[in-house]
Amino acid sequence: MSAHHDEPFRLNTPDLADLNETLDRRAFFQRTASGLGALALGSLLGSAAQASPMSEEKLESIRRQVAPKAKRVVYLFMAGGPSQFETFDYKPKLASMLGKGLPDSVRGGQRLTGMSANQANLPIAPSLYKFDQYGKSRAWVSELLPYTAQVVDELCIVKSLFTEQINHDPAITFFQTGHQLPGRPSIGSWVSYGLGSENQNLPAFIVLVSKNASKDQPLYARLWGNGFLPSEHQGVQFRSGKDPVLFLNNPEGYDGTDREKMLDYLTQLNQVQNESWGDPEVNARISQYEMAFRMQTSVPEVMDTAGEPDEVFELYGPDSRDKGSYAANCLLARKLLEKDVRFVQLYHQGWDHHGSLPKGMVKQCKQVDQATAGLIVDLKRRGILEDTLVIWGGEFGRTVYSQGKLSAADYGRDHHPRCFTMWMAGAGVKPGFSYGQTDDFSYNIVKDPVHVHDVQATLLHLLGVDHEQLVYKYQGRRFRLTDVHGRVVNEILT
Amino acid sequence: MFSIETIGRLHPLLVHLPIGILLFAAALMVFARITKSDLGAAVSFAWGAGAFMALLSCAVGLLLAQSGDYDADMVQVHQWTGLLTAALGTVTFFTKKYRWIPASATVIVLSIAGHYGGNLTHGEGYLFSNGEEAFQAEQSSKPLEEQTAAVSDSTGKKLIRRTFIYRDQIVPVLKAKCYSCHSATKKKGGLRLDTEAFIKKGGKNGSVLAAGNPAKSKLFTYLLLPEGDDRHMPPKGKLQLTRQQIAIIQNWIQRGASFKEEIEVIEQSDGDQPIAALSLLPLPVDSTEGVAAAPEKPDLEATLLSKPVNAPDQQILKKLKAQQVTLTKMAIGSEYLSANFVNTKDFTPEIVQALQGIENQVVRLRLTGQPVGDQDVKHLAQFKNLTRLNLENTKITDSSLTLLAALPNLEHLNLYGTAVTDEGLAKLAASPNLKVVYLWQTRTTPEGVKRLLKARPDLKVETGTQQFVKPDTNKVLTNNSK
Repeated sequence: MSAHHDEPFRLNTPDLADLNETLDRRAFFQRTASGLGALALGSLLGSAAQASPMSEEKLESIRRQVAPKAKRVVYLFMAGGPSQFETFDYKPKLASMLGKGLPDSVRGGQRLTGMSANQANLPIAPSLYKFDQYGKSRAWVSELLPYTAQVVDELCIVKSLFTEQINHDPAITFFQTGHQLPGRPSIGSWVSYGLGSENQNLPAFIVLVSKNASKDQPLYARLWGNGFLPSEHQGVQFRSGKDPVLFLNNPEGYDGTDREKMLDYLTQLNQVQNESWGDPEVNARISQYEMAFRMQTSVPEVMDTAGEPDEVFELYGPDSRDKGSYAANCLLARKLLEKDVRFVQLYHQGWDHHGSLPKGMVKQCKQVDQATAGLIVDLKRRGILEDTLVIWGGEFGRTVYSQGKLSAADYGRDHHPRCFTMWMAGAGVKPGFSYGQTDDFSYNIVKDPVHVHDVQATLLHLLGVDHEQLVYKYQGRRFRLTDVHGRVVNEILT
Repeated sequence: MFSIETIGRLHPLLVHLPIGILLFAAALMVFARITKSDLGAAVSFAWGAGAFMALLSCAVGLLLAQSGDYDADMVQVHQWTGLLTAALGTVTFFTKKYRWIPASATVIVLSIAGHYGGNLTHGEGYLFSNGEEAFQAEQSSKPLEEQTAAVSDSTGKKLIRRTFIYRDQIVPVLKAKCYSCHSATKKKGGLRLDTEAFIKKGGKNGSVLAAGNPAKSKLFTYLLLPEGDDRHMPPKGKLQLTRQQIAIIQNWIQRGASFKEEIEVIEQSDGDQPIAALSLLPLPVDSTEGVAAAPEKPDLEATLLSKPVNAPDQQILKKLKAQQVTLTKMAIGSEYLSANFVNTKDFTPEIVQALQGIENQVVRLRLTGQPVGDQDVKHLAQFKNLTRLNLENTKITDSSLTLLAALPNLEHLNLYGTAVTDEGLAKLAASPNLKVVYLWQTRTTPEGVKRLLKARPDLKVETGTQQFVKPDTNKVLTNNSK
């Protein structure tokens, strides 16, 4: 435990120093008395302590004493919960158990979702797809991921992940924000807040959502929301259409020549506002306008993949020419990472296979397999993989038993939070490495469990941030991405 | 919630009723006498009401006196004069003849009782003091303040400085902001702050001072609580401490909370400025880095970063920042920097030249995609601490590699997308600490890479030649899910 929690009162906290600077008592009462009123009171009290962006001293206090291994992160989120059985967690013993009931000793009375709790039996469904060992690391990979299998020596596969949430929205929210209830900042927002960006012309946190996925489970913008952090740290979604960022282009009939001048005046006005109210959201607004202005040139530039040679599109697969597809987003992610964007988050929905899983998995894997592997290769040959962390995974795993009817060629799998697989690659994680182990039914973890908070702690660790020090005070409480949990999984680090 | 003590606290409020009514009754008598009007019934009622309220106030006041927050001697005087007022008021009510005699006595005793009551609430001397004077001109009575030891002022060239933080800085703050509730007259919470012994003793709820540890000293921490907090001191509505006063108290506790005079002998040299009061020196930043990081494998860069280096020239940093060069500290508290040209729009050779002033501090340098040529790379010759150098997609050629191979700490070198050939590549064999080279899209050949690897088997060379084997995905579909 850090000393942080033992000392409730510290004059030297940046919080207090900032508060003192921005708002002394007298000024505060003057402002509230002269009409700001109760409405703004809450927000002033709640967040005046945090001016944004983080000052250099504040930054110093959260960073570790060694140089960070990772400078950027690309998080490939497989929304819906991909099955571990048809991808990485090879369970040969199941082959002979087709249709047999899941032993009670394995299930251990654990709760099931409402979707399969009333089933008369829980018949075991072995993977329909074959596995083989690949690379120097001899890692098992399913035949559904033939391209991923070719870069397996770059991957650090963690097979013993577990979460506390059994349904999609709380589970994704838990993964992205460290808490199952909405309202907290996304990982990317924390990183943007803590480390800022080396690229001044693009947001530190960019989100790309595949358009070619089956949207069986919804995604909400709050998954990349800034929560209580200043608004400029929210994830900015880049879309595939004419306007990659909504409302960024000049409206029709306006040539934009005096835009800069206009924004300068607007900034001056906002400064006046800021000086009299001290609301950090005014600062956020100023920096957002400035960023938007710079993005008017930087976004079209980075979104333009026309200059990429054919060889690159071939690497990412045929989908990559189709803007907005997962493959095209992977290519775009590489371009953003090349520009030193701090955190790129991709979402690919459609992994929620309660029924017709074999067919669904073929489709899903085909959509992501080559592009993901292509991204790894592309990052590697450009020298970016060495300081970029790549993460691939969903919000939970799937059950060994079939939900609904089991036949030789068709079955479904229900949500399973007790174990699932994800992989990382790149900066600071062991390449060609496998960590953790599940039982023969991939139902329980038998070795080296890794919790969602552990993943988050490890991610921050690789970025050179101590997850226990990256705190934000809001409504009288100090919040962390990892709440009061999280262990850096040193075993998977180089 | 609603205890006897709460009722007692109504006394300062209640007490104003008898004061007002009794004085009004006296005034009514004078008025009746002057105007020769008959106000007998009204006067009697006023005295009766006043006497009754006085008795009630006394009862409530006695409950308040039980709390022990007040100086017993002063309470005694107030208590008996208060009771006497109530008694005299009652007498006046019942007296019909010569009523002016008990009436006058009541008014006089009432004034005395009121004065003592005021002293109890607002502190002694409240009436005749003016705030500012009370704050500064206190050099007189208290025993602690007499500890000014006589020390000869200067011996030879040595200067003796005496600091008496407690007397000179702490006492005035306490006097101005705390004594009114925590001293001889009133000891709220059983706490007095007017002498060393009392401060060390603490209050009903234990000690308030932990020498050397402000965070554990309520004397300091309660000042920082939000004003809405019940424990916040001084209580809501009272005059608060200024930020500087809080800092003075923190600093004093941090330095050991000495109640004595400290004597320092300072070697005086010419041009010495008088040293500012110690308490105004910057506070030591308290360390929160108590968490031991997992020991990392010591690599070359880590070893390098642990060596001390001068702080980089701020002028140069400013200049570089103006050119959109992003400079990031390598780690907390480190003077080593990474320099990134990702934002630089209009590259000029001058920017690289400007880097020369911080050649010892720059550990990583990213010139990716900039029109950097061999001329510019020449300026990097002195960058002895450079571990990672990104020159991908620049205009450099083989001739730069001789220089780069001589960089003693270079570990990662990215040359992809440059015109480098096998000839230049061969020179890299001499680079003492090189680990990784990126050569995708250069003019090097597999043979050239092979030769380099033969000379330097420890090198990792990334040529970007990995090609996917096209899997037969149709097979999966037809075999398994018809």
